[in-house]
Amino acid sequence: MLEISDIHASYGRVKTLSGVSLSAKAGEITCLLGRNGAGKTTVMRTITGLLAISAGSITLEGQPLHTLPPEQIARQRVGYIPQGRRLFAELSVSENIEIGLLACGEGRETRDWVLDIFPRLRERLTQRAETLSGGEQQMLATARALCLRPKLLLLDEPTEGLQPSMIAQIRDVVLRMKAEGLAVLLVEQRMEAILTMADHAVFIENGASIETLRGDALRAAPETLTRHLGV
Amino acid sequence: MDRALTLHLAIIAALALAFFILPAYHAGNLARIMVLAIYAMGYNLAFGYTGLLSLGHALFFGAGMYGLSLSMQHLGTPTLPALAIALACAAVVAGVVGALALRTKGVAFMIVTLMFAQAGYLVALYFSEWTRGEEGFVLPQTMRQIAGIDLTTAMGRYFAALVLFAITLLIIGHIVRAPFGRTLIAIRENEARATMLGYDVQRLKWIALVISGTISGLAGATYALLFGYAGASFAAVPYSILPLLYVLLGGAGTTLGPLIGAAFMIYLFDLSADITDAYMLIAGVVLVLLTMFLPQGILGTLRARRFKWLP
Repeated sequence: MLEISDIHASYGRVKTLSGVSLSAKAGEITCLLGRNGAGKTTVMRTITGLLAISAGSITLEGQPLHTLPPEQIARQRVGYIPQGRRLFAELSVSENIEIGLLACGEGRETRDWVLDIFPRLRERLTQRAETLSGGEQQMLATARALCLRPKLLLLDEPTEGLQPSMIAQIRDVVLRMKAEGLAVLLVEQRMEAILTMADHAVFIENGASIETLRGDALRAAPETLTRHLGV
Repeated sequence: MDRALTLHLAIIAALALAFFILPAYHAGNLARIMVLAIYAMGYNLAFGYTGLLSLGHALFFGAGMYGLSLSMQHLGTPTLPALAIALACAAVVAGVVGALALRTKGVAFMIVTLMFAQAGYLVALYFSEWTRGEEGFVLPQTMRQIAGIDLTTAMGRYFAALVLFAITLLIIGHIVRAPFGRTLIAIRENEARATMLGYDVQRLKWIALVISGTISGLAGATYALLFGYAGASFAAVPYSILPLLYVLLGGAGTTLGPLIGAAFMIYLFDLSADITDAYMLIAGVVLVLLTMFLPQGILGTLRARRFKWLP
């Protein structure tokens, strides 16, 4: 599904990625791991076209993504839920979802599918997004990304700052997306989530991928996480 | 019928009634306020809804004004075709300015639009043989008619202003509540996120600016038609700042904010000029106080505090 081969990228003169390679397959969760500042979010930004790569390639189902502008990448059914949610605060829950649906010409069927996944949002359709709780905002950000009917779902620390019950709900949704055949690329810091969800783990350090492990290998040697993440 | 549309129709009806109730002086003021509110509504679409802080809308106002008045004055074009020419001029100018200025953002966008407007102003001065520069020219009274209605009479002028104001208000009210308008708000709220959802943000911003510029051009043409005068001062910097003030005072991103803001500003100047020659000082103090205590503008604050449904 997603293949990233030896990508390099910079913010101006500051080199941020210098050799990241990974793949994310349909129906699997690939965790992108590393310490703060390692380059995880930067990898997400290169996939979505927000940051151009200077070398290497990014392909989705064999088609290059790195040559496309960001809006075209989204239309290849790449859903991105950034860190910090970034909702359209002044719009209602319903309007946030509509904006997501309209972007890719999705309709009522997708709307119902999304609201079935997040029944709590159905109860808050007319409420302004900025008045939702943190967990509900994360649900809405996820719902809006799912409106694209993505093949590839990119999640950047989706459970950051949430209470345990919300974390469990978000985790269930991620697992459901995996079961529905989406390729999921997940940036996560919580060890418990990584160990229970990851099919593959890619470790990044100083802007380069240094090791890739299968989920079962990771669970067999959880100290690897401690070593790489420094937790 | 929903509450927003009901409110818009009620405002239009109240304005129609106002002509028969108000003294002639205030009815005349109101006609001018409605024309300037059209201008501010156009500006509001770019600034209040899309987040494009332009300092060059006088260029579009001027394009509409000169599009109508030059074609009437020098080519003898009848009113309706002249109005169509005015709209086309404003749309083309906004399209060209948008295609170039939208390559920039934030402060750079403000500066670029300001420079375009200044260039337009200088062009109007340069071709003074046609435009009569700052002095301007008066449109002949005999030409200021539309469908047999004499626009030089108080009633003709008032109701022509009202009809154009009503059409603009209903169109804007429809646009901002349609998916296109909600998408513009999404762009204003978070441009990167809208892009990540698959929207061609540049194209949408350009469309918004062209519609905004065309409405501003309609206001310029209407002003020339109803008040019978076109001059380069309408294309100068202060006329780019005015709609910004109207919108900020009335409430950016509200459909009726431009009308409230225009009415407030015009009467603020009018009433303070009655009190003292230093009326700008009074107006300035009032504006500072309003900005301090109602930072979202009059309708913006009302919407935030009580009437969440206000369009």
